[in-house]
Order: sequence, then C-alpha cells, then structure tokens
Amino acid sequence: MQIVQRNEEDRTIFDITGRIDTNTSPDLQKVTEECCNKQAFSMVLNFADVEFISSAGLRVLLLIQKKANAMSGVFTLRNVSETIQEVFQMTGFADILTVE
Amino acid sequence: MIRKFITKQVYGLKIRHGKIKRDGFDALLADAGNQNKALLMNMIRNNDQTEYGQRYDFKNIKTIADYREKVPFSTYDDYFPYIERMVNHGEANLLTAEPIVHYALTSGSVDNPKKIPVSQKTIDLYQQYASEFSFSVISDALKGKWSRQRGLNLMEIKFENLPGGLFAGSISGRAVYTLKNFLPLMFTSPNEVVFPQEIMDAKYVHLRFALLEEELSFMGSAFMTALSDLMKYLEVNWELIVNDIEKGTIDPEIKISDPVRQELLKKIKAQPARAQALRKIFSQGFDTPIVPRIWPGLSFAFAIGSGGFSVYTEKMRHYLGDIPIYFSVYAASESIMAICTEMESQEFTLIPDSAFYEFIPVEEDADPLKTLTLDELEVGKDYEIVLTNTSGFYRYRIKDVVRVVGFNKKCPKIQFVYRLNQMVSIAGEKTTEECISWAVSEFAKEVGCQLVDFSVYADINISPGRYTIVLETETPIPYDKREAARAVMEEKLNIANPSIAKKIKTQVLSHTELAIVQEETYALYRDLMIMRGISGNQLKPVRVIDTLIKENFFFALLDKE
Repeated sequence: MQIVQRNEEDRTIFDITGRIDTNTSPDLQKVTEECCNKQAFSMVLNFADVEFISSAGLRVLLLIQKKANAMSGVFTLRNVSETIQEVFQMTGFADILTVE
Repeated sequence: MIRKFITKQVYGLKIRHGKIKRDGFDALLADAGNQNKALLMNMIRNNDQTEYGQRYDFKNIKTIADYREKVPFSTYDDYFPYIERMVNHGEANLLTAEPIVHYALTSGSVDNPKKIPVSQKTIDLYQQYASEFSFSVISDALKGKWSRQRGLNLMEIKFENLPGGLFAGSISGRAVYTLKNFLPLMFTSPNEVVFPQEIMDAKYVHLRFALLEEELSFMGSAFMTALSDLMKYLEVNWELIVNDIEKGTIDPEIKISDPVRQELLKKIKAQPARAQALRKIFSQGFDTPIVPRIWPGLSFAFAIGSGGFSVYTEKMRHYLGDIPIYFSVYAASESIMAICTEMESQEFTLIPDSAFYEFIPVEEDADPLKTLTLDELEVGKDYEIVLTNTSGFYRYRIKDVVRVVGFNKKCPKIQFVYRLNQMVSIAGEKTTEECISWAVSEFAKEVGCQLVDFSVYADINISPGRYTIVLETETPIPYDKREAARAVMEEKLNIANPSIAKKIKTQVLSHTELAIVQEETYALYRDLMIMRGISGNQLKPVRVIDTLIKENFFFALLDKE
C-alpha cells in the first residue's frame, strides 16, 4: 500500500494505492494520525486505487470517523469502487461514513 | 492514607453484611424446597388485589397445584400492555403491589431491549447477593490476600428517563446507583465514565485511572468479553496511555468531549515515575501474564465467564496468570437466580429467596406443560427455568435452559446450558450453544489453532440447508488446509449433535460449512456496536447469526483467496 498526502484548499487528501489489510492498516492509521488530532480537521481518503479493504482497515476508518465526531472534523471518502461500496453497505458502514 | 482506610472499611462492611447473608443462606439451602414454596405463597398473598392477581384469582390459590392450574405460563408480550400503562400513565397495582422503582432494559441478547419492571425488593436482592454475598465469598476464599483496596470495575451506567419520572437502564447499574457517592472509594474509574452522558473512549478512561493505582486489588465486569477487550486495548495502546501518564495529559486522539476532558484532567497530574515503571513492564511484552506485573497486589477478577463466554475467559487467563476468577452470578434483568459460593467454581447455587422457580424437563417425551419444583430436580438433567419474581412476573418463561450439576445441601447447583431462542434447528435437530461451543473447542485442539471468536449460521439459502460455522482465528488457517479443517469441524459437530450426522447422511442436511472471517472482524463488530451507543460492558458474544444485519456483516468479511 502506498499513501501520498497533499492539500486541496483547506482539506488534507490522502491518495491511497493498494490493499488496506491487517499488514497495512497500521500504516494508514499512523499516516492519518497527525491530521486527525487537529480540531475541526477536514480529511479526504481517495480510494480511487484501493483494491481491497479488510476488517482491520474498516476499524481504522471507524477510528478516524470517531475522531472526526470528537474533534468536530469532517471525514470523507472519495472514488470508492463498487466492490468496496458493497462492503460498506453490507457491514453497515454506509450509514456511518460519508462517501463522495 | 485516609482514603485507603475508608476504602478498607467500606469493603469490610460489605463483607460483614455478606457474611450475615451467607449464614442465613445456609439455613435456606437446608430447606430450599419449602423456603421457595413459602416465598411463592407470600408473593401470591401480597399481590391478590393487583389487576393480574384478580384476573387469575390469586385469592383462591392455596397450593402450588392451585397456582399451576390457575396461572398460565407467560412471556414478555403478556405483560407489555400492563407495562405500557405503568410507564406512560403511572398506573400502579397492576402486576405487583410492590412499588416499581426502575425499569431494567434487557441487554438485548436476543431481541430489542425490553423494559422489565423492577421493585425495590428485587434491587435489594441484587445488592445483597451480587455485591455483599459475593465479596464475602471472595474474602473467605482469599484468606487475607485481598487487600480490600480499590478495584477496576468496568460498569457503565446509562439511564433513560421515562415519562413517569423513573429511569430505565441495566438492573446491575440501578443496584449500584444508590452508592453513587461511595463509588470513587470502591473503584478507580471516575464517575464521568461510570455515568457517561455521551459516547467516549471508555476503555482508555478505565485504564488510565486504573494504571495510576499501584495497589489495585481486583478487576471485574458484568461479562468477561469487556475485560478481555480491555486487556487487548491495553496491549495495542499502552504507549499512548503511558505517555499521557508521564505528562499528565489526555492524548487529543482520545474521543472525549471537551467538558468531560477538562473534568478528568482536574483529577490527574503528571506521574513520570509511575510512567517509567509501567513502560518497563510493557516493554517486556505481553507473552507472560501482564496483570500481576502491573498490579502485584491484584488478587482476583470477577465476571460472568462460563458457557458462551469461555473463549474470553481463556483469553483473560493469559493476562491474569494464576490470579483466580470469581464467576459471579447467574442472573437476568428479571431476577438474580443463582450464585457461585466458591472462587473459580462455574457451578451456581439457586437462590431460594430471590424468585420462585419451576422447571420444565428438556426431554423428548416430557410434557411441556408439567413443571417441577427445585426439590424434584435430578443431577445431570436439563431444565427450562420458569420464573415468578419479586417484581410482578408470574410463571415467566425466560427461555434459559440450565443443567443440574449437583446439590448444595438441598438446593440444586446449576449451569447455564443454552437459550431456547438461540438454539439452531434447520430440520428438527435442535443444536444448542453448548454443542457448538464444544465442537469449536475440539476443532481448535485438533487443528491446532487459537480461537478469537465463533458463531453459527443456519444456512437455508441452499437446499438442503446446512450448518455454517463462522470462525476467526489468531493466525489464519492456510487456504490449502481449509477443506481438511472443514471436515474436522463437521466431524466434531456430528459428535456434538448426532442428529446432524444422521441428517447429513440421509441428505436432509447438506455438509457442514466452515466460513473463516478476516482478522479483527469480531473486534470490528463490537466497535460498531459501541459506536452505535451500546455499552461495551453489556456486549455479549455473537453466538448465533440470526438477523440479516449480522448475516450481511459477517459474510461480507470472509477471508477469501
């Protein structure tokens, strides 16, 4: 998995490539941590090149969403593939996450 | 020093009260059958002028036989119209003459939460047995090893306001609510997390304060799942917590509202020496029991941890080492029914003065309408419990099946076996939670894997239907070994319930399937439930995948090649 961080106006964008699984999800958590700790942060995870997300990856998304709730932040996912969108639907994440 | 002295006195007082209760309990057990029947006749007399009592002619009930004849079995639905009137219009004397002081919300193991009326008498029984009696048993068992200093208790008490001015919430929470001002003397967790007003990172707060307490003397929770999850959280997050202890801060990534954060910060200060000591302990890893290394004076743990919770109990043993466990009570929102009278025992003695018990034998040829009293039970047999409680439920089928494992004087000792509505049956083979737990445990031994958690799913989407065992293991089972693993699971399930074997052979059932979910799937499910407002302390394992929500969730997260 590769993660590239960039800014787009007042939003921090993370372009992710590859699989978010047990091995790689700690990296995603670490990379996004600093941004999550800012009050009223605005974060976008760009999933255009994400092939797969596992339970461990979903736990990281849940953690970021919890932080967004706590810090009055905004957390959005972008370019989510149909397959991953289906996982969100089935697991109930579609009701929790904001997908552009 | 003064606080420690007072804490010791508070526990001493509870133990003394518990000792008195235990002395009386011994006398109760010696005449359990008659005592239990006397309790019923007393309840019938006291409630003969209630609406329910008049409807079923309580006035003319003179014997147990009269009671069985006049009063039908009941379920929650029978009481629902009465409860609606009580909650919404404040009507009294409908089910019981005792004033209702609380409504227990069931922990929702099966259905959506129900509001169970609770009288002061029931709350008193909970306090006497679950707290005082239990502490007395533990104190005697530990023979002075318990320092009687503060403990870590993961209780989180959330109450919902009802129209009549009463609260609805867990009954265990209501039982300790009256002790609100004493709780900081007994437990390390601050009231901000014990009585949460909003969702927060409760595990962090419980641990943050417990880790400051070098002399922590015990740890406990309603269910073993919460203790096991807490320790896993510590294993993953100890560096963050220790850094906070060092600096006297609460990391910004911890989800707590600002007002609560400010209140908590007032209660903590930088403790670099404690942080250094903890860092040294955690840096040595979690391979050997961590709890005695963090808290050398911790002398016991308590939680409901038998039956379906045993996977979590085994996990906790890894953290606890030789520290003994008290398996607490067998209870439901309707009543506290049985209690452990020994440390480490997973046998529960029925409490004869808490409710009147009837038992329906679970046998092929048993008459489902015929009940036995507690003095008619036989060791080794299984029975469905029917309850008449001290809060206005009569001949209430709580749908639990228990096994008699012995007698304590003249009172049965029982073990929970399964819930009737959690039993899986595709073609009449009736597979209990106990069967599944046994099969999975034997499977793990033979395949050599460490279980994280498991569930069963009755798959009727294919024809004929089949059992699917959903499993998460610490290390994934290699793909090329899964067919062999599936065969082992089928073999074990066939032994656990020979009716399944017979039905597979005659093609009434398809072959048993094994579905391995991705790592952290069960933890994710619990995280989601907590995110949705369910207290981590009240979460029970998902043993049966019996709703579309659970089905979609677990089958979306299968570990596939």
